[in-house]
Amino acid sequence: MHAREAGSTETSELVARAKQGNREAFDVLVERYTPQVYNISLRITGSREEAEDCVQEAFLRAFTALRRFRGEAAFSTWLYRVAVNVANDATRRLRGQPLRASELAGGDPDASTPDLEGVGESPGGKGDGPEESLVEAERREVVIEAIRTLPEHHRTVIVLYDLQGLSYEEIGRVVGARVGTVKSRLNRARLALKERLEPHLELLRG
Amino acid sequence: MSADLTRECEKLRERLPEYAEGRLEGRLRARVEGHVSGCPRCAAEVADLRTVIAAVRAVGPEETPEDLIPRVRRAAQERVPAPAGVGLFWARLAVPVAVLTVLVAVTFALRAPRKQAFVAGGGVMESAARAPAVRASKPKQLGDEMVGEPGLEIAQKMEAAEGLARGWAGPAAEQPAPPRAREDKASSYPTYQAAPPAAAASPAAASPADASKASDQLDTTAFVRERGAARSFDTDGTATARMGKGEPRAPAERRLKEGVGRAGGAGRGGGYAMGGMRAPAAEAEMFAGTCEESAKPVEAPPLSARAALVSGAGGKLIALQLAAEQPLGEIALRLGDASPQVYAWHGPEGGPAWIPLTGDAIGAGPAAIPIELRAGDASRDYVLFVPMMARLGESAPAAPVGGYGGQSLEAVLAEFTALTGLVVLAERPLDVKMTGEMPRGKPSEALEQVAAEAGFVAHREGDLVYTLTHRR
Repeated sequence: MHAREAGSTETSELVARAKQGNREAFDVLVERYTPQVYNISLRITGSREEAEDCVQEAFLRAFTALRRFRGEAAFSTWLYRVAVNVANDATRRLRGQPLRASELAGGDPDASTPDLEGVGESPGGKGDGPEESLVEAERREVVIEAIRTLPEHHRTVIVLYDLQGLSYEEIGRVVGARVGTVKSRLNRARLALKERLEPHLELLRG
Repeated sequence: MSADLTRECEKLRERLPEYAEGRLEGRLRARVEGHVSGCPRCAAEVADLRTVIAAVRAVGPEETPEDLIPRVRRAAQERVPAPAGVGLFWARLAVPVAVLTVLVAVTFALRAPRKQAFVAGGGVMESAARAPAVRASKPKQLGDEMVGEPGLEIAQKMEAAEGLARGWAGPAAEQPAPPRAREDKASSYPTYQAAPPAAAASPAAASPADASKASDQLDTTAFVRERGAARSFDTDGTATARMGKGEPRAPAERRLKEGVGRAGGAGRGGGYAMGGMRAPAAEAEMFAGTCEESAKPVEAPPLSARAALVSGAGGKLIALQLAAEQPLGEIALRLGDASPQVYAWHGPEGGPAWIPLTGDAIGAGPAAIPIELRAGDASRDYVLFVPMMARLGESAPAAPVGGYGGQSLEAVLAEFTALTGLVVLAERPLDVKMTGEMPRGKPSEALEQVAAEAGFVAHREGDLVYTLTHRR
């Protein structure tokens, strides 16, 4: 889940030091926020490999522009905004390029398992036994794929709200929209997602 | 289902997700609750939404790959300039025009192994790469009519890019280096390579006598005046002319004109001359003679540059389209810290001519490449802002964030480019101090607003490329 700015003082200090060129501060910020940025990127792009590239790109862009960050918003919000932009960029680029199921489920992108059979064995799979793992993995698969096929603005709010746990206000700062707009967008995104998942509702209810 | 119920369904449908999540409050919640309790369809919808929301949240976070953090750290250390270094970065890259001018204004004393650059429409530019230069005096206009139009179709760009990619790296390796011209005046001229017909490259045409004779007949002024007439050349052959003070280059052009005439569609999708069929002997001898006619200053022609992002063989590259109402004398590009690449113009009036800037040439990381266009004494300066070259052409724009903080437009554009992935070719000067906030919204709109605030006009050249020119 989204790492709230628990150590906000420390983060602001780190940011201040990073702005002055302190490389160790960069390192700490990278360590602290990479998990969140990675998951945002992963869920937006739907591809592990692409997500890793996006994380790198997002930090590079953010650090390059760090001196313009004035601390009015939380650093995390600012960074997520960059991350969302980068991931959406990548997704636009990827559009039309089919992803393998193993990629979607977070499996080994190089594995030659282009169907669901490989999903249960993916590192992303959870569960007590093989069957449970397979079902859960399949659920994850269809949900992730449905998210991936949402329009960009819908996908973004779903990822930030439901997967990253950001508040309406935080999402508003990330996507540059008012809270009312965020709410409305999230409602529509969920309806769109539900439509995509209609054929799989039984599986999801299981 | 009654019509009233259906209408209420439609009105409330968008609120059902919020209701399903339990986030609706007050009267709206009561209204939705009341409706759902009497509407099986909406009740089912709410149940489905709850299933979906739970399923989405069950996806949960995924563990970060083990090596990702170290990789990001390394990348940050290597590629993010330290804040204090930003100024240095610019100081390093944004070479003052004066310095650049001096560099350009020097004629090439040595002729380094040359790289060919592609000129859309069938011409070939040759750069005397990294050669120390001393230009004796004002260069004269030079150029053959090239077939081509300012707005090349994308297919042509692609082809150009591919041609460029070949020409950029190919000739020096594939062909024997042309013999050095005399180490006197001739060799002190910047080089220029045109693409004449094979006839021009024939041994007969290349003889010193012919060259001398042709040179004697030269009427550069007349030639320049005649330039309005349609002229072009075939691109199958190659010859080299020189430019600089009193550059005796017209013979080659004469041959081109007389021997070939129009080359028709050479510039429209075919006939790009890359490498091959260079005539070193002709090159060496044809322009060995000294032109007695001194170069006349030319009026400052309107110069302009555009940029395009094209896909070429083996990757993405930027092609600069340079245009002028009159042919340009020289084009100097400084790529990163390298010595300037100086190209002789080989385009028609109004261009276009394309120069490739590959990722390899520019280097990794955000870059701002000062570009000076010269024609005689006239020059116009641009800066080409390119994003992370590693992702060039792959990254669609993203919205920038933050404020200007009183930075110069140049600094703002550099950051803008790095943040958005846009390629921006901006006309100098770019020293306007920017205040306020970077506009929010689409990068394209933000850029247009930034440009407008700074007194520029943004021209969209493609999805990723913009040209900024001063509002006049």
